[in-house]
Amino acid sequence: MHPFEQEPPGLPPGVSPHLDVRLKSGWRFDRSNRSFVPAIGPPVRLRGQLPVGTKILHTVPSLADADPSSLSEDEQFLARCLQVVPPSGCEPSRLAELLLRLDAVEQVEASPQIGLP
Amino acid sequence: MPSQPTPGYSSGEYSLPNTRDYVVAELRYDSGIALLPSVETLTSAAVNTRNRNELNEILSGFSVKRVEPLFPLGNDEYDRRAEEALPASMPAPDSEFALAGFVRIELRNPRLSGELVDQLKQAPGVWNAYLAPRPEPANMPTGATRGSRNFEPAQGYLYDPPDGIGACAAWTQPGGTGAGVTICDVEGAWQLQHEDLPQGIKLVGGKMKYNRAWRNHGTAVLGEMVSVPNNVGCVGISHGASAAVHSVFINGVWNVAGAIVGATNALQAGDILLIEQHAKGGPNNKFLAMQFWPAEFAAIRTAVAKGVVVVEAAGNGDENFDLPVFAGTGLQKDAGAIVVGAGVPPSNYFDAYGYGGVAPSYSRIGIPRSRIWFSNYGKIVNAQGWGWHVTTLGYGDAQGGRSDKKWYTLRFSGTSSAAPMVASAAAILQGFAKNRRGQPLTPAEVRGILIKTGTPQADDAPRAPLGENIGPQPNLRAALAELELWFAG
Repeated sequence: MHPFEQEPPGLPPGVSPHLDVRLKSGWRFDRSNRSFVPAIGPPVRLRGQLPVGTKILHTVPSLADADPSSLSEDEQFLARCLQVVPPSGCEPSRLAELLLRLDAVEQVEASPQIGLP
Repeated sequence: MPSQPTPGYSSGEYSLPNTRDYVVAELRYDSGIALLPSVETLTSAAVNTRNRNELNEILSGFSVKRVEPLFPLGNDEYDRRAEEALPASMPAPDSEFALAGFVRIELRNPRLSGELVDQLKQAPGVWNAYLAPRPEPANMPTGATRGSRNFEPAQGYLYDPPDGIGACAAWTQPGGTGAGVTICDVEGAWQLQHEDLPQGIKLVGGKMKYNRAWRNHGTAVLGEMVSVPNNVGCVGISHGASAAVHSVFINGVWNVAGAIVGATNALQAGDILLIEQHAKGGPNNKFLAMQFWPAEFAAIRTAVAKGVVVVEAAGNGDENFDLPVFAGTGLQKDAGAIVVGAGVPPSNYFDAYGYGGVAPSYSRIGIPRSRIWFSNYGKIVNAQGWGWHVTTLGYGDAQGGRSDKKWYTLRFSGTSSAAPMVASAAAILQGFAKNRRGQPLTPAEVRGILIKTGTPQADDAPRAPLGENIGPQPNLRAALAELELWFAG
């Protein structure tokens, strides 16, 4: 914070808005197959369920492929956290609705407005 | 090759008036001679002709441009000097008598003035003779004439408590500069080529996004902590520590939790991770500390579990974290971080700007170390730092210019300016501990010592009562003494 330099509103150029998505306990996101995988049972493929161009990212990429049994409770929680970037022209609220229809998804929230303290 | 700044102070530039050297001769009270105005030879009563003649003879040996009384007095005063020869060792009867004996002699060749002085000193009618000093403005040093100025005197936070955090005292202790400790700043952009930052600060993850405000912010944060100690710019509180940075922009998305874990992976137990972000949330949609969000909360706990000391800006939302609506959230749970609020600094007044209408120019902010108006507060806020007018790198209001590599500010503020003070204090404790016992403190120990030994928050009720908790300001002198006792026991 500086009295002479007001922070410009919104995200810096080149940064996409996103949704914070949390999977239910026991689920994980399989990047290579673009599917949500439960601990037991068949994976849920996302093709056709989300708009084309939707980008799904692990919030903590280093935990994406980790063995859940080797993770702490907090790390297991973080491994279930995803960031979903809507394709251009798709309203985030519409994408949130689609995500919440999926069995794997526990929570969807718009990312908060960020700032420099 | 670009010219390097020249460290150190020098006098400001000014031009001398067009003056010439001249000689001042002070005639003896008992000489009975005087120089009458508009008469360019010395005069005396008949009984004192010897003194007069000797002096006139000395002057005739030089090409005199001008000889005149030094002080503009009435003619009577000079006549009196020419007529009255006081007995030797008698004091002057009055100041006019004394002043009438001063003669100003200017030669056509000023280089001969020294020789004239020597001869006059030998003359029996002369008490003293000297070359008049050249006048110069009695100004103080104004800063380096080339290169950047030294802003260290404006870094009051370095100094002893209760005003500062006692960094200068800590520097004299082994490890007391934070040596052997790495601090990783988590935000979005920095000017890592700034002239006053150590070389080689690494971006350990994420991508910087160019934005002037973000870049100044990151540079200011680093400047408080690790500015190079020399005669240019600032000196960092923990200038012996190593610095690293991790951007919150990962894969083109804002991701603080990912950055915290990424930074943790690059750090060791005992190192420091500083979170310089806040975001809007809660029922009042105010800026909150990042641990409000579950992913960030879990990421902080992951870092703390690894032994990394996490220091987190509380945020500038003027929000009460103890409100019932925050029950069960990260604002009322302990993630293990040191959450930092913004306190009023000793320079507790607005400047002319008045912060864009928040307050009248030059009005009072509050009692030093009380909560500043914008700082979030609550039970989880553990410590405070200066939240206003912190001198550091960036922004350019103290020193600007074309290149932001040489920008400095006197006005870095917010929980942003407060948190690096606490992060640096933590680094100093860790440097000291590693030096003394070969291993760092746990994050809980660092937090506990900083709270126990800190300079207490000040009450400024009703504006900012103590119930609006932001915790104490670090007192490194007391904290290191506490550690010393602890290690000895």
